Amino acid sequence: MKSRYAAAKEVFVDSVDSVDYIELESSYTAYKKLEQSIDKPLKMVLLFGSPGTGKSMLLGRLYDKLKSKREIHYFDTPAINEKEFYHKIFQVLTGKTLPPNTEVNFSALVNYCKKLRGKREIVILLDEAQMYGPELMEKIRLLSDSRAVKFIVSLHKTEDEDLIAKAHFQSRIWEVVELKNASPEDLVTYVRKKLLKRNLFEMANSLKPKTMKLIHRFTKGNFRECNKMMYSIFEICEYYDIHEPNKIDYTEIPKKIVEMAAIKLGYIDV
Amino acid sequence: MYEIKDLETAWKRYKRKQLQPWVLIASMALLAGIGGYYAYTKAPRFLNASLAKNDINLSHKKSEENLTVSGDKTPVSAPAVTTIEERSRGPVIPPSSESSPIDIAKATQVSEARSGNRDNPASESISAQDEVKPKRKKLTIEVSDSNDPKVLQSIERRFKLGHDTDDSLFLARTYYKKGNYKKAEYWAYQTNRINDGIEESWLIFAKSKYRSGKKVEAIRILDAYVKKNDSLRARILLEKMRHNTF
Repeated sequence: MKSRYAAAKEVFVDSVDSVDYIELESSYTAYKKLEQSIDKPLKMVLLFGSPGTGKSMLLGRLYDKLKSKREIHYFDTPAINEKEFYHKIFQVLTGKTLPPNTEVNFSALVNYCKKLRGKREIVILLDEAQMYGPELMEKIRLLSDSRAVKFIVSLHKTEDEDLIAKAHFQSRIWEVVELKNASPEDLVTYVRKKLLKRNLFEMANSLKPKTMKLIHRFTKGNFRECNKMMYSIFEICEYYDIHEPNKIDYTEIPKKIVEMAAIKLGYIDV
Repeated sequence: MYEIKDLETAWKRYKRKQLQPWVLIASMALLAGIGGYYAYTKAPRFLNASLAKNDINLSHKKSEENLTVSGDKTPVSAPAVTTIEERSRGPVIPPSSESSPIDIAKATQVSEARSGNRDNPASESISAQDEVKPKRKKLTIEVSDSNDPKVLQSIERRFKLGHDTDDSLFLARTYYKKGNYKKAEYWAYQTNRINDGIEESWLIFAKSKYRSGKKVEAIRILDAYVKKNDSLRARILLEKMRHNTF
C-alpha cells in the first residue's frame, strides 16, 4: 500500500536539477544580477553563500537558460587535479577531448585564450570553487586575464576559503552576488511551490503557518536543511499513515511530527 | 522507517525536558503562595501574641499605678480598697479580712518567687510564655492604709529580697508625698541604681534633693538627665527649679 505522503516525501529529495528550481523573490534578484554581470566586461564574478543557500541550483538555472544563447559551460564538480582541469578547459576552448595521458601546457593555453580575445566570449561556471587549491585559482585568474574566458565562481562562505579576502582576487572580482538563507515567507513559498508543482495541494494545505514557522526556526531558512526536514516529516507521516493511521491528522501536520523530525535530524538535542 | 518508536520515546523525553522549567516555576510559585498564605494567616497571631504581651505589661504597670493611686488619693486615715487584675506576676495574695493588712509572709513569698524568676533567664522566658496564655486571676488586695508604716516596712523588706524597682519607686513616691524627702531620695536612688531609665524616679530624686535644700545638686542632676534624655517633663521641672518657681 502506497501512502499519500510518499509522493510528498519524494518532492524534497535533495537535488541540484534545475527542473526543481523554485523561483523566489530573493533568488530571482540574484539570478538577474548574475545574468547582467555576464554581459558586463568583467573577468570574474563571485557567487557565494552558506552551503544550502541555492548556489548550485542558481548556476544550473543560469546554464540552462543561457546555453542556447551564448557559449557557456558548467563545471558542476571540481576537477581532481590541475591536469584534469586543463583537459576540461582545453575541451571547452577547442571542442576536442585529449587522451588521458596527455599533458597540457598552461602557457600555451593562456596564449591560445589571448588569441581568442574579441572573437569569442566564453563563460565558465565553476561550482564548488573552494575545492580548488590556491595555485589553480591563480591559474584561473591568469586565464581570465586573457578576457576571452569569463569565470563565474561559486564558493562557500567559509573563513579559511574566503577568496574575497585574498588581495589578488579582490582586484579581479568585479561583481559579487551573495545568497542568503530564506526568510520565513520565502520558505513558505518555496515549500508550497515545490508541492504544488507536483499537484500535491492537500499536502501543501496541511502545512499551516505555525508549522512552517517552526520548520523555519529549526532550519534557519536553509533550503537544503529544509528539504531534509520536509523529507523526514513526510517520512514520519508516511509511517503513521500506513501503520497507525489513528495517530495522524490528515488536515494538518502536527507539531509532534515536526519535533520528531527535528530530533531525528539533530536540531533538537534530547 | 523503523526508528519511529525510538523517536517517539525521544520526543516524550524532550517534552518532559521542555516542561521542566515550567514545573520548576510553578512549584516555586506554589511554594511562594503557601509561604505567603502562611505568613498572612499566621501574622495576626504573632501580632496578637505581641499585643497580648504589651497588654500584660500595660496591665502590669496599671495595676501598680492603681496601687499607687489608691495610696496617693486615699486620705491618710481612710482605708482604701484597690482591685488589681493580676495577670502575669503570679503572686496571689489571698483576700484578707476587711480590716487586716497585707499578709506580709505571703507577700514575701511572692517577691521570692519573682526574684527567682529574675535570676534564671530560662524560667523568665517560660514565664513570658505563660504570660501569653490568658491566665487571669482576679485578686483583691485590701489595703487598709497605704501610709501605714507596717505596709511600707513590709514593702521595704520585700524590696530587699526582690530588688523590684516597682517596690522602690512606690516607696520613693509615697515618702515624697508624705514629705519624707530623705527617704524619698533614698528610694529613688535605689530605683535608679537598679534601672536608670525610669524618668519618674529621676524626677522624684531631683525633687527630693531640691526639697532637702540641695538645689544646686538637684539642678545639676536634672540638667544631666535632660541632656541625656531630652525629656519635656524634666526640662519643665528644671526650668521651674532654676527660676525658683518649683
